[in-house]
Amino acid sequence: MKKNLLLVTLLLFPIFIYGELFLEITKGSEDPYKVAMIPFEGNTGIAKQLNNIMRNDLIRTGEFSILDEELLLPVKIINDELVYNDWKLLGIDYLVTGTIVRANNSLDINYEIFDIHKKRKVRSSKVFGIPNQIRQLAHYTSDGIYESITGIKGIAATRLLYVNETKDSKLISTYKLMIADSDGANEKVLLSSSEPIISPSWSPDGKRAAYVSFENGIAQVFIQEIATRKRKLVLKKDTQISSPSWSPDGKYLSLTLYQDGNAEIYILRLRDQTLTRMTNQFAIDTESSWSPKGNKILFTSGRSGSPQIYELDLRKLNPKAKRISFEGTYNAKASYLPNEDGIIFVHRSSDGLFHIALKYKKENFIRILTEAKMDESPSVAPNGNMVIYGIKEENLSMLAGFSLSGAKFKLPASDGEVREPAWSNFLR
Amino acid sequence: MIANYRYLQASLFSFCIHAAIFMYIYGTFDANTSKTLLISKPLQVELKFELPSKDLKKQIPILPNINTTPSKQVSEDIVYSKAEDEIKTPQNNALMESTIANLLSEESEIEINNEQQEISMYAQKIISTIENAWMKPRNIPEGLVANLRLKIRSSGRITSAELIKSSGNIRFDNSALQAVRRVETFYFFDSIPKMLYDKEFKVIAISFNPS
Repeated sequence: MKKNLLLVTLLLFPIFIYGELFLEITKGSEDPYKVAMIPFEGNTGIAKQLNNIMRNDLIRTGEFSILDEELLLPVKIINDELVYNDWKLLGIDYLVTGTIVRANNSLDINYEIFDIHKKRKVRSSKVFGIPNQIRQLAHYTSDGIYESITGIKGIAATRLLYVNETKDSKLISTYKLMIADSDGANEKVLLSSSEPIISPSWSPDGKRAAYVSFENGIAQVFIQEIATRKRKLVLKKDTQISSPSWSPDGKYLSLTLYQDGNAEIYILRLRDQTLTRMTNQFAIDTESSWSPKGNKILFTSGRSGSPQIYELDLRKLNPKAKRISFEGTYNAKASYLPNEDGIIFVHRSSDGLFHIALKYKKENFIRILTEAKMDESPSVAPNGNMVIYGIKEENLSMLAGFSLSGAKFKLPASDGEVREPAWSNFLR
Repeated sequence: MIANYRYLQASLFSFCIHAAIFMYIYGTFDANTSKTLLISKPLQVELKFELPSKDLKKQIPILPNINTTPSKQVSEDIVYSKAEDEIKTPQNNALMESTIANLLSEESEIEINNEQQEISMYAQKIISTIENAWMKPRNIPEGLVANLRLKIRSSGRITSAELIKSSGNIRFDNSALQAVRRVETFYFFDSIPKMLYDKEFKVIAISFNPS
């Protein structure tokens, strides 16, 4: 026995010698990157504006903390080399500097990112812009900063669609389809109507929006070009059509049609208006959304007696819906994360409150991500790290968002109530 | 005839090109293949930290027994059966020899174990230093594992951190790299003997595995 043991040890020993030491880390808690942003050189007014927007963009991701401006040190450069040690003592991970270059018709930003630990410049970039688009310029710059530090594409330069409802003194509602920057600024009206507008959905190229309007008495789906405001009816039927969702290649719309007596999912080929029926059930099937690769559809169905999330594999000839939510008696309005490893949806917990939840494909439990009472219609940012959704505060609907890394934020409604947000794809 | 010769030449030429293409596709020229092999290597090395502790527990109680029993036997033999000495000594010698051989080998084993113990002590220090600096991201799927390879100077300064196996989740990978960035220097490295450092701690692999 002893000899055997010896043999085993001796046999294993060569492996020890030539292998490398291998350690395992099992604990950890959340902590953001600490970034110092030196106000950009150039016009101080513009620099301040830029700095504010970029700071908010980065903080909203939940992955950054920005050093307070009063604590900033003067940037010392000796022999073309930044003096890193002072910043290290402040606990800074990255330093951002920049200059604003103003020519006749353009406003450009040169910015540089320094890694304080590795003591070198990790990025030197230029963003081209025009003077009346300072917000956009700031968003592009903060996306560049975010991407070069985290390796994840930033979403500050993406946009949102949502529905705004205002009431006049006689309590008559006006519904508006709005478009805004990802931080809620730069709000513009796409469509105004005295009848409800619901379910806005972005085309993958970010140039068009599909939505449901009740302007003709029944629910109809329209497609509208964002630049020209030109719009057209997608499908003329005398029954209701709702919840449009664009396929990732932009060639199809999935819709809910009520022509068979109850709600069923159909796919419409936009080129020639061919309709393909995807579900055939006595129960309601609705709220379809496409997988990022375009080969699957998620939808909500009542076929099990309560609303649950189902998945259809479009690559199969006669796809059978597969139930993928099993927790509780209400799961709805699901959409995929961009890398398809999980879904975000609305879940009613056992206390009867509605929350936004996340379920990873490989996990057999759900993660509840929000804690208000009536959270609804989540929409996932194209990088998968943020979600925007509707909340109710003192009976007023408004928009809120969170990042998976733990940051939370609210988007202020300029007037009235806002609901049904839709996050665009990357727009560059 | 000339035409045939040309055909022959052309077909040979095309064969060579196709062969080259296929070799390229199957990775014959791929310099990275040796790199990917390394990924499986750390898995074997993981044994290192389980073995020493188990071995030590088993061997420490055994040692005194071996020391005492043969010597008793020998002395008893001498006292009670002097006449049989000549016949018995060869046996005793054989017994002695075997125990000495055992002892020697076990001693070397203990030396190894001491070294192993030392390695695992420093390894534990490295682990706890990095654990303290590691901030695991929220809301990431379970079961993610990322492996890093660190190059460390004898002063303890980490000169490079390389991701050798991605978890598939950028936020998780970033958190591992960020932990190493935060640590920057293992200050206890100057207490590691030079031999041991050269052998074990110049390049180490770390697995971030929260499950």
